[in-house]
Amino acid sequence: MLARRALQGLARPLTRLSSTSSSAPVPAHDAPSTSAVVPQSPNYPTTWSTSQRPRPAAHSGPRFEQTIMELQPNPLSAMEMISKEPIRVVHGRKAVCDGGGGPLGHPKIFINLDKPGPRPCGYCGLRFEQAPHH
Amino acid sequence: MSFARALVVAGPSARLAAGRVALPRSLALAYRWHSTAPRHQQHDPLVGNKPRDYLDPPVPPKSPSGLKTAAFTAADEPGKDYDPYKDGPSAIDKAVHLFFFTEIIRGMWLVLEQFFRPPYTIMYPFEKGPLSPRFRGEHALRRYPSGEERCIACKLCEAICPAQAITIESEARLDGSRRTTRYDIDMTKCIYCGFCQEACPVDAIVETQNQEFSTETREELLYNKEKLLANGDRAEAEIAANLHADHVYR
Repeated sequence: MLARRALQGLARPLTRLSSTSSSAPVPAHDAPSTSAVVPQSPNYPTTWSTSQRPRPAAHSGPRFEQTIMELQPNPLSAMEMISKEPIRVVHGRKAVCDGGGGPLGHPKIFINLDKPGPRPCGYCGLRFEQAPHH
Repeated sequence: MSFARALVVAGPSARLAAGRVALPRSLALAYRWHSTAPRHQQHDPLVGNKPRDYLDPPVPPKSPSGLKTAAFTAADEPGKDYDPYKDGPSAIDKAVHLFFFTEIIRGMWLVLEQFFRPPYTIMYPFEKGPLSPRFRGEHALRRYPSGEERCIACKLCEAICPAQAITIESEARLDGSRRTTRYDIDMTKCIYCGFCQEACPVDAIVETQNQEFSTETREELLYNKEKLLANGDRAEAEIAANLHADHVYR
């Protein structure tokens, strides 16, 4: 038990260092759910928002006595799925995104791509980047 | 007056023979057309000195001949000359059906036919009747084809919900995207009015066609975001087909 605590204490600064490398307006996320036994979603192990509550384990409280946790709804993490989506390369300074499907998508928006790096669509999260030239 | 008409009919030779008309006829007509004095005060050379009696016209007024003037019936309009009784049964046919109870006998024969047919019953839990694409059942949260959640936490559904059954909290994710961290629907409060899916600008919250979600305990009807997303993942093909079938009318 003590050894596990010490390991976690060692690992936490490491994760902090690695997370600070990506500079983004992201809330401080220094407390991922420690119970690595129960992943938050099938494709992402920890929580992804600051005040998100970790997924309860089978015997974490009287509320979950005799609950079959495998049968509880456990959808995939959208953040992980959208990060797997490839970046769309656009020729020109602006990208157009309407979610696809015409009236079944989202309101059409234009995304300015002047700054370097990919820019996500605020609705559907697809990332667009200007094609490098010269 | 009858004298004047006889003059007109007899022609110029008779007029000359009579010698009573002072002015030629063309001059008299020109005088009648151009004078502005009231007609009953002036001397009309065609009629004579006798003032006209307007209360007793010598020729009684007739309705003008022809179909197009006075009586305008439905038969004059195109497409309205439809006679509903033209191809129908005659009065004798109706009387025969009335006095020989043929309709009652036909109805009883229909009942007898139904008695020997197999019953038309749906084996409900295994086969189900048709549902409208606008059916409002259990709620679901949808995703884009890329897997991203459609809900952007605009909270329009929370604002419009008349039962105030929806609770939303939002926060930035680790990748910087602001999404809901909490999307709760109290299905015991929900009245299934469909305002939430009408308010949603991105079709994120929809009501699926699932109507069989009874639970054993009340707490199981307090849906959270995981449950709603799982509903959407399970029924995404059905929801997309329904929305596509109905998108012309929205």
